[in-house]
Amino acid sequence: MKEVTLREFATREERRKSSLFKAFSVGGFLGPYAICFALFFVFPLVFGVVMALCSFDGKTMFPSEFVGFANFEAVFTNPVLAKDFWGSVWNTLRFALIIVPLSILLPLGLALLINIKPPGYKFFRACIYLPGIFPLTATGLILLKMFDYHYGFFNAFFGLTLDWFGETWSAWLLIGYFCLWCGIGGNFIILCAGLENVDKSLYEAADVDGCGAFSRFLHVTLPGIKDQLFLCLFTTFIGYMNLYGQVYILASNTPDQDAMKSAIYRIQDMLLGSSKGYGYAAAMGICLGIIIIFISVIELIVTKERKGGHAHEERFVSWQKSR
Amino acid sequence: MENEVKMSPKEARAKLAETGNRLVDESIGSFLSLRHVEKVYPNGIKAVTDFNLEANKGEFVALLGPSGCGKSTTLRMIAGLEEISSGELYINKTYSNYLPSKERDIAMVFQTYALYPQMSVYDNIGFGLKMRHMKKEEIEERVHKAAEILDLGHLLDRRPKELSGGQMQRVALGRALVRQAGLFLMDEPLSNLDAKLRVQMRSEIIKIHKAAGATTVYVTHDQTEAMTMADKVVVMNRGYVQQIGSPMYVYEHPANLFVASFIGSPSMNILDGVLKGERVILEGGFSFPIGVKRAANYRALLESFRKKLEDLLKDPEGNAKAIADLAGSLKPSQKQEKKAQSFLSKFFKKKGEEEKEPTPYEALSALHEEYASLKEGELPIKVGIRPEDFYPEDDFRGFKASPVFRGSPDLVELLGHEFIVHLPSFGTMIELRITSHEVPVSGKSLGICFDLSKIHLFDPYSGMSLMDKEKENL
Amino acid sequence: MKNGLFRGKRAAKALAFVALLLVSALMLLPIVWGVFGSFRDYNDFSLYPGSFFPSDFDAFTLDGYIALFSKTEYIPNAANDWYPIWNWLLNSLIVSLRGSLLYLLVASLAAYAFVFLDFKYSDKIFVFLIATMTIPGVISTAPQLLNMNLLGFYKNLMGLIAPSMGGVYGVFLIRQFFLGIPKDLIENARMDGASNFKIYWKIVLPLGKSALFVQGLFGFMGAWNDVQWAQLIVGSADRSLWTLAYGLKVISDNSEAYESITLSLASAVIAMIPIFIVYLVAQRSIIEGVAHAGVKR
Repeated sequence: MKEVTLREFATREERRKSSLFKAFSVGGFLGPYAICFALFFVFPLVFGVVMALCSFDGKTMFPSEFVGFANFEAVFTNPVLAKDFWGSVWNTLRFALIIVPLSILLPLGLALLINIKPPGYKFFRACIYLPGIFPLTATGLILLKMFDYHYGFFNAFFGLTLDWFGETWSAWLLIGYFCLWCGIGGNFIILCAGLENVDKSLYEAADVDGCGAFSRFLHVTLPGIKDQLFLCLFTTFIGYMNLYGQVYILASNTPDQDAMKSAIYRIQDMLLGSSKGYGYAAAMGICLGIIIIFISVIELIVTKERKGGHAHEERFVSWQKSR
Repeated sequence: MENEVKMSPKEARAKLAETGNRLVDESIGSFLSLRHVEKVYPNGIKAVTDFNLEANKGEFVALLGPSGCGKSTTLRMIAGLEEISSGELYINKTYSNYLPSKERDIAMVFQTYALYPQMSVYDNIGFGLKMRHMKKEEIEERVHKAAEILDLGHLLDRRPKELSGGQMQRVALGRALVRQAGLFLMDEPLSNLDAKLRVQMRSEIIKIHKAAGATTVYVTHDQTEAMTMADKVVVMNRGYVQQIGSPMYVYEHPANLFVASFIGSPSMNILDGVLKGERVILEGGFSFPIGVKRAANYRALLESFRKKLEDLLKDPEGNAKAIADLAGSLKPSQKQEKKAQSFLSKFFKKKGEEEKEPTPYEALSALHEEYASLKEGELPIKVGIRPEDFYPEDDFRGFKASPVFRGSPDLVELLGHEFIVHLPSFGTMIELRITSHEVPVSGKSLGICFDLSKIHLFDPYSGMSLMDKEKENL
Repeated sequence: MKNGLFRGKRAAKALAFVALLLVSALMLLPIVWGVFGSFRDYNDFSLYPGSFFPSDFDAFTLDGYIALFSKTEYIPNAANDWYPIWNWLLNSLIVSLRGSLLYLLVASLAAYAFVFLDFKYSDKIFVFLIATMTIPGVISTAPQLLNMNLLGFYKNLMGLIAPSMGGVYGVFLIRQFFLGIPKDLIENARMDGASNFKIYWKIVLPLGKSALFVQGLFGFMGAWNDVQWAQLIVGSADRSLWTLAYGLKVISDNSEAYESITLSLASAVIAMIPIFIVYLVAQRSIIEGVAHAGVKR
């Protein structure tokens, strides 16, 4: 072995020891989470791709044969599968298109009211957030009974004879109501906090600059809560692309099931059935995931802040030259 | 030296085991020793370059410099909170580069005090002892003693948020004190206090330093603190040690332009001039003699630096590190728009390509060319004169008066017993500190002279000071 | 002028008050109706015109709750089922509590490593973790089900707990909070001779209590309210393994008969009570937690 001086040796040894100790403590703290992350996040993700490329024989829950892109092909071309899945994706998208703007504008309006700080606003804030904290099955059950055809409060009170969950349009209407009733709480609180955080002196400056209430909202409030609005837009959209519980609870007895199924509902059905459908379910999951990513990216591009450019600077320079 | 003897790894292991697996160097006389310590961050930024310091037992060392100069990084390396990239750290003769903080026999006071908010003052002070599994009675004894010294007795049951800034500071000091460590480290401990408390706490800290008999390393950006408290001041700038010495010495003999302008308030006036024969001619033609000997010494200083550059540049590969270090130490920082430093910027910026920096080698070559092209008869020079070395012509109280020059003050600041006069002259604004019964009036012409024995001469390129003894015997 | 300003402000406040009062009433209306309905005789629902509250004192009944908690068959013709509601409650509690506490432990340890142990590539690893949050969860629904099966967690409460353990969001939030703890404090403890675990346990956790509490609440509520995953994992198992949230869906499916309305509403109320208690106790932390997540990113 090579000769060393005592100093070199000690340096080497101690450096080794200290880095070993460091690695050990990092491992100790990060290790449990790393295992969980690998086991319950990374593995399913990778395994999902494998599943989508395999067929299942229906006897066990595990893949039996590698079939390449056959599952995807089926999702796109198989008359039954394709109609079911893309029909449900279309249902979901249509619903999201209506419910997402409402789920932002309604809470925004309420948050603006809260921001006026009328007496008891904290209590109102708590009340508006309240329905969202309960299990969907519980609140959904109450809605089911309230709008019941025979003995529901709503029909009885208004003297209607409408089978709310029997018709496609009214079932979707109630699902929308359900989503707003129990789903706006989060956005509402976030927007309240955003409004709270807008620099008060900006309002004062706007007053001095002669802004009316509306232009103040346009030029101070909206830019001030831009981040929160975008956050709500993204999370709400992704949330409603994953719509399941509300439909499952309110509309599982609606006669025209094809018109009521959301995309996740279809996938869930597949997973609850025979494992023969697992490969399709995995492929559908990937398709839906890609759609979500695609639309999110479009949202991102549309809402992205643009750089100022140099238009004014250039005009300033030419103005300077002209003198 | 014993530690430099070659041996097989096996022998080394056995030998190291004898001293408890710690490398002990008996030849080190000082208590704290840093040798060629450097810190390079993973992103390539060099925070500390070639730091050398020997501090004896009981010494109070202040690391002084502007923010970002590497003083805190150095302290944190001593504390073991930051890894040492290269070089060696010995604490009490023990090689400590990789020793965990808790085994270094150190106590530290943080700028933010770092008091545990959920613990009472008593528990805060005793926490370090508890972590070392000390007996309850022993802890109590020590905490009570510290509380007595620092007058914390009535606060022991309070939580940190119930304390004032000064009280929190005292708790933080108490926490360091009970540790009875050999080495106290303090990171700007007074910077969060108001001016009056700061003065008070200064003496408190000195008291504790003396009571504990420990070595103290004290980081500060406040020169008053460093000058009043320390036995030894280490002036740093941009990761380089500029000068080490007693406060008095550093004040009277600044090693370079940076130290000269950093220490002292108002800071030293730095004037551009030309050395002709034995006379320095300032802008506007005003001239004064500096003596034949000093003029010769100044020439020798320039020549020796030129020679140093020449030698370095002869072997660019072999001296790569030395070249990089020297270039790094000379490079003017972006913040320093002072005339004293911007002088150099032309060597560190390529003409035409503003974005691209020249390599250290290119920069030093350019500098060397500049030196080589200097004309013997007319050398550029910088003259430093402290504000207090100026006198009204009729009230000279210095050692050797310079010729008189006249100027009319722009602004006169009254500081009670003295005046700070801002006087435009020699192409710049100079500040004079004058104690005169006659109040200078702005706009009214004044006759001024300065003490020739107190002037400092600097090489404008390297910034080095002419540290000669000649001026005393002028 | 000044008077006018104040008058305008007061009018706005009054208007906002009225509007919020109306909205709050609307939000609470179905819940209030449900709670009263659970104490109401089923015959009372079908009166014309329908009344919001029970029509008279005689209509009050505890039958729904009694039927729910006893195994007696309440409605002879419709529900030939019994609902092991105690099991469901217990299962939901186990899943929610154990899941949120375990995740808190794992996530806070990881957050500690990211904030206070400086190791190579820690920033890059963290950025990678954040990036994975953009991957839609749908993709892994199907494989996660098989994964649980592989691990033996299928038809097992562990299958409801495990998937949330890999979540990134909690680590992100807890890290965010830990970043606010002064580094000096940690370094001082280190110099005081505390080991990393001691620092974590004695300093960081006590200081991070509120953040961990909020994160725990969200975990608890998420697990308590989950239906979709519970349906997949325990839906086909013996009904004593169901969670309350999933059990409710089956109760509602079985409640076609009009006599079962009281029982269904009672079961909904039972499922809401624990969450409501949590909300009463920690309403401020919950709302602040949501607000914090939305504002400070």
